[in-house]
Amino acid sequence: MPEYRKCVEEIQRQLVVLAGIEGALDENADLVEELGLASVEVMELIEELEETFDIAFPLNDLADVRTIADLARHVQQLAGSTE
Amino acid sequence: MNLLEKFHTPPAILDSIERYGVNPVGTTVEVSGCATLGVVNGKQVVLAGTNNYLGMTFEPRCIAAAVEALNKYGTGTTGSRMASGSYGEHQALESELAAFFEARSAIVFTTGYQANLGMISALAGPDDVILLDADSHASIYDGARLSGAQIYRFHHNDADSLEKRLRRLGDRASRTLVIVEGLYSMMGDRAPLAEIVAIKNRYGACVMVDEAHSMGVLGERGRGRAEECGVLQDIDFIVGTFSKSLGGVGGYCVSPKLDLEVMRGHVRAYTFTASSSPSIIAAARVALQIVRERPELRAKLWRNANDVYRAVRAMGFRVGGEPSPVVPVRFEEAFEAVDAWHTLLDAGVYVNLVIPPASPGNFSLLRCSMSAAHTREQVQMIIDGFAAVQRSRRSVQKRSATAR
Repeated sequence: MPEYRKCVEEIQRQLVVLAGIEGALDENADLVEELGLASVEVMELIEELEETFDIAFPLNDLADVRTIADLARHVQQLAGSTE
Repeated sequence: MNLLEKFHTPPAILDSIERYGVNPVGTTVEVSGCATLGVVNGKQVVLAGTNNYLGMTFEPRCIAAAVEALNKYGTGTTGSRMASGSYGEHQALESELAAFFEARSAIVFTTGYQANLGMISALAGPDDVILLDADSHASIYDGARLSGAQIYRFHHNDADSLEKRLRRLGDRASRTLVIVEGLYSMMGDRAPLAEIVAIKNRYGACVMVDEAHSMGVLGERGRGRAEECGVLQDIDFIVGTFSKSLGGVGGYCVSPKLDLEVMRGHVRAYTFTASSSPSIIAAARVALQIVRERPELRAKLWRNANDVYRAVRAMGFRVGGEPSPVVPVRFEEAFEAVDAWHTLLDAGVYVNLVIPPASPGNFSLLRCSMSAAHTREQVQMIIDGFAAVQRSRRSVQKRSATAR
């Protein structure tokens, strides 16, 4: 299972690449409400994380993901379950 | 906060209403006696955004069949197919659809949306997986959500992305329904179906193809993308609609491989809604017959589509990747697309304006859909309309360069 910190850092890196959001340091920042991600960008972010961690992220889980921390924990769990 | 406060009209639409007095995504199109002409905002226009690919809405034989059925059966069935709403017309259309696709059986729905909603939500359950193309229609997403299955997306038209996800699913791959469209309604591009079929066979998954925009349009006999790719008999489920090339309203699902009769009573969007008016079904039956009898309609549609695609691309617009009866013209900003939509309307051409989130990305589209019923003069008017958009954009660019 990847470390939680590694998941957070990858999300922060992708936020810069995909949406030009620099310095999203607060892990509890809401991806849509506070960081201003469009729904298309959320999907792109998830696709990138799927590739990086070789996971399959179900759309059903999106409702539980609001913040960087939520997303990092989800990615961590999914990656752990496929090891 | 009240319940309505979350709804917002996009700024580009508000601006259009303020500046032009017209809502491009809420216009009234008045049609009278012709498949390709209408009146929008008091102006006569060529209709190039109707999905009326074969011009079937005013086909005299369809109208005659509908009138006859109307007089014989009345205006509606007032019942579900499971109760009093199953007439001989519905059953005959199901048999004819099955024969057309060389399928074992067919189920007819009241709308195309319900065909997807009903079939997907009945086929997959909480223990199953749905893998859908990222650019799938809303009815596919809604059906998937209603099913309770685990839903995954793969990159649009990317067979490798599909394969990667099936591999990651492990044992669950054999309980997976892969869903794609034959021809995508917004960008007009086609699914790589031969590759997708090979992959789903390798992993023991099932595939559903939505041929809403490709039935009557693609394939030697008009049976859609699966026929065009030579994989019709490998498709598990084909869904489609009567509201595009058949010029009516309604939907269907056929299966070349399975007998759908076993599931009829388990499809809620079929069971708990009124069946189609018999006049609609009678018109669809004749329209299907015409698709079989008159391949020249498809040839004419493609000639018109190729002409507009090539001309608009030559003007420097960003169009879809391949010629198609759907010609999407891309604009980076919604405001630009709205202005271009009005320029086209002034030039006597109606197309669809598509802005985010309805477009498949952070860009806007003027979406043209071509028809076999467009005359050569009408095709030229559509091309001239885009030339007017190009002139108007150049003059705006020139003015802003001068101002700088």
